[in-house]
Formats: sequence, C-alpha cells, structure tokens
Amino acid sequence: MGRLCARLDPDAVGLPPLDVEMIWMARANLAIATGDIELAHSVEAWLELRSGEDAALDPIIHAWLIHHIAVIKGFAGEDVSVQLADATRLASRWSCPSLRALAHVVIDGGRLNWPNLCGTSAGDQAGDHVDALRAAAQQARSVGAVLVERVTSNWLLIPMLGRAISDDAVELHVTLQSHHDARLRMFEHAYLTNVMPWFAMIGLPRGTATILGFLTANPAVESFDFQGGVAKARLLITDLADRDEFERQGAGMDIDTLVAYVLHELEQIAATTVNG
Amino acid sequence: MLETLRQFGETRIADGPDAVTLRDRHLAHYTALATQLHELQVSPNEAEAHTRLDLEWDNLRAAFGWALATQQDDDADSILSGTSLLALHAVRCENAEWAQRASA
Repeated sequence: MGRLCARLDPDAVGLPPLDVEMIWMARANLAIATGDIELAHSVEAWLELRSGEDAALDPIIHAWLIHHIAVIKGFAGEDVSVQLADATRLASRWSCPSLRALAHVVIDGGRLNWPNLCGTSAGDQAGDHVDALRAAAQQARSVGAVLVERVTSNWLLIPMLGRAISDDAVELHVTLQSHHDARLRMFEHAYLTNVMPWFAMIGLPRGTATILGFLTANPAVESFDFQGGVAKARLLITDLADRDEFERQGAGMDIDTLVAYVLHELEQIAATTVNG
Repeated sequence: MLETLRQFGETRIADGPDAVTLRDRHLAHYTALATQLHELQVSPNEAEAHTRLDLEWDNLRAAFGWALATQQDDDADSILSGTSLLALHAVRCENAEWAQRASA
C-alpha cells in the first residue's frame, strides 16, 4: 500500500489544483478501504492546512474528505467533533442535494453511532438521526447520486448490526440487494464482512461460517476492518459442529453465488420472524 | 433509435471534407458542457446534471476520444474533470478508464 500511496503524489510538479484535490481524495479512499488511521490523519492535516488558504476546495471533494476522515476516526474511537462542525458549515453554505446528504451522513451518522465522540449533543434522540439518515438517502436517490445513497444506507446498517435482532433481516436484505443491483462490489464485500457476525449473533452460525469461508478464500477482497470481522466471526462459530463444511461451501462460491445465498437466508429469517 | 442516428451522423462526418472542423466544433461544445455539468452538480439543480450526463454520455465519450487522438490535452482534461465527480456519484466506472487513457 505504501507504494500505491507514493504514486498518489500530490506534491508532483505542475499539477493543477483540482488534480491535487483528486489525489488527496484518492488517498482518503485508500485510507477508508484499509482503515489506515495514519493516512487519515495525513489527509486531515492537509485539509486543515488547505482550509486556511483563500482558494476554495471543490465542495464535493471537501464533503467526501470530511466523510472519510470521520469514518476512520470514529471507528478508531477518536473524536470527530471537528468533522461534524466542518460538515455543518458545508451543508449551510451549499444547496447541492447530494453534498448536503453527505454532510448529514457525517452529522447524523456520527451522532447516531459515536455520540461520545461528537462533542456536545444534548437532547439527541437516536430515532431523529435514523430519520435524518433516511431523508439523506432519499435526497441523494432523488437526484441520481447513487453512490451517496448507498453510502448513507451503509451508515444505517451500523446500529442494526450492533443490536443483532432478526427483525432487521428485511432491511439488511434491501441494502444488500441494492448494493448488488448497483454493481458496487466494494460495498458488497464491506457489507459481507460486517454482516458476517450478525448471523451467529441471531442464532444462525452457518451463515457466518459460509461468509467466513468465502472471505478467507478470497483475501483480495479485504475491506475495512476485515481482520476484526474475521476474528469476531471465528469466535462466534467455535461451537458450530459443521463449521468446516460450511466454510468449505463458502470458499467454493463466487461473489454472485454468495450474495444470492445471503439474500436467501435473510428472506428465510424475515419470513420466520413475521410468521413467528 | 438515437444511437443509430448518432452512428449515422458519425459516419457522415468521417466521410465528409469538413470532418476535422466538425469534430473540433463538437469537442468545443462538449468541453463547455462538461464544465457546465460540474457547476450544475454543485447547485440545487443537481438532478439536471445527472439527467444531462445520461443523455450526453456517448457524445462526451466521443469528444474525449477526439481530444486524446488530436492531443488537445486541455480539452480532454476539462471533460474529465468536469464529469469525474458526477460520474462517481452516478457509479459510471467508465470515467476511471478515461482517466487512465489520459494519463497513459
């Protein structure tokens, strides 16, 4: 990764300003794909330096940089109040729908998932933030900003995966189906990594073992917090008698087959939940 | 239907004596449009930017290809930078291939 980052050299001679900004965005993409907190800190430092200059950053790039820094810092347990303040300023300055949606992802996603890392937020209700995230997803969808809508949906997953109740199967199904329809492979892989422990936590460890088999057989698809997800999944399926068999099945699947399998399992859970 | 007409028009242009002039004018038009698209994207009328990107994608591709082929690098850069963030949000991965071709 160090070599790739070195090739993304924003200090190369003669680059126009927008290219420099795009290189920092590529670095932020790399940081979020790998969960690299040091790289995120370097992006944050550049952004702080850049914000003091007269010429404005491209607002869309600015919004993505804030988003990526907030995600990496939030998951690392670091304070994100600066990013929330930046997102608030950006949303008040620009009336572009997808930019405002992205800003609200940072503001409401941050307050929903890491209330202790967001500075003062007296009187906040989790439901308000969920509603705000749903509104942001709808806003992005309505203008055709598919990527922003999908990112917003990912933020809505975080509390669902944490509380691990089978009632969420319908919503998890909708999210995976939408990632799949949009052909967003990176999102599918991140989703599978994150949803993997959920199956065992609701009492269906075969789902966890099958996804684990696929992900460990396809190390090229590593995504954010991949190692953490794998370690957690392994612990959760320790008592599953046929875990080797399910892992073998998962290892033999391609991504489309695995997605179809997970969608089917979620449908079954949803049907059982409704009927039970 | 529209694609068939576009292909017919391309053939006629390629066969005609003013092919270079027409392609340059086409390039100038779509270079300007790419810049407008980015301005639209950061405005309240973002939806219109996505609609026009969908409608004009083939023309933008053709203009970009002509700019590269004739080494009109500034125009190629303008088309790329004007459409890159819009294409990103629309999940049009082809735009990344354009960037690779431009930097090759």
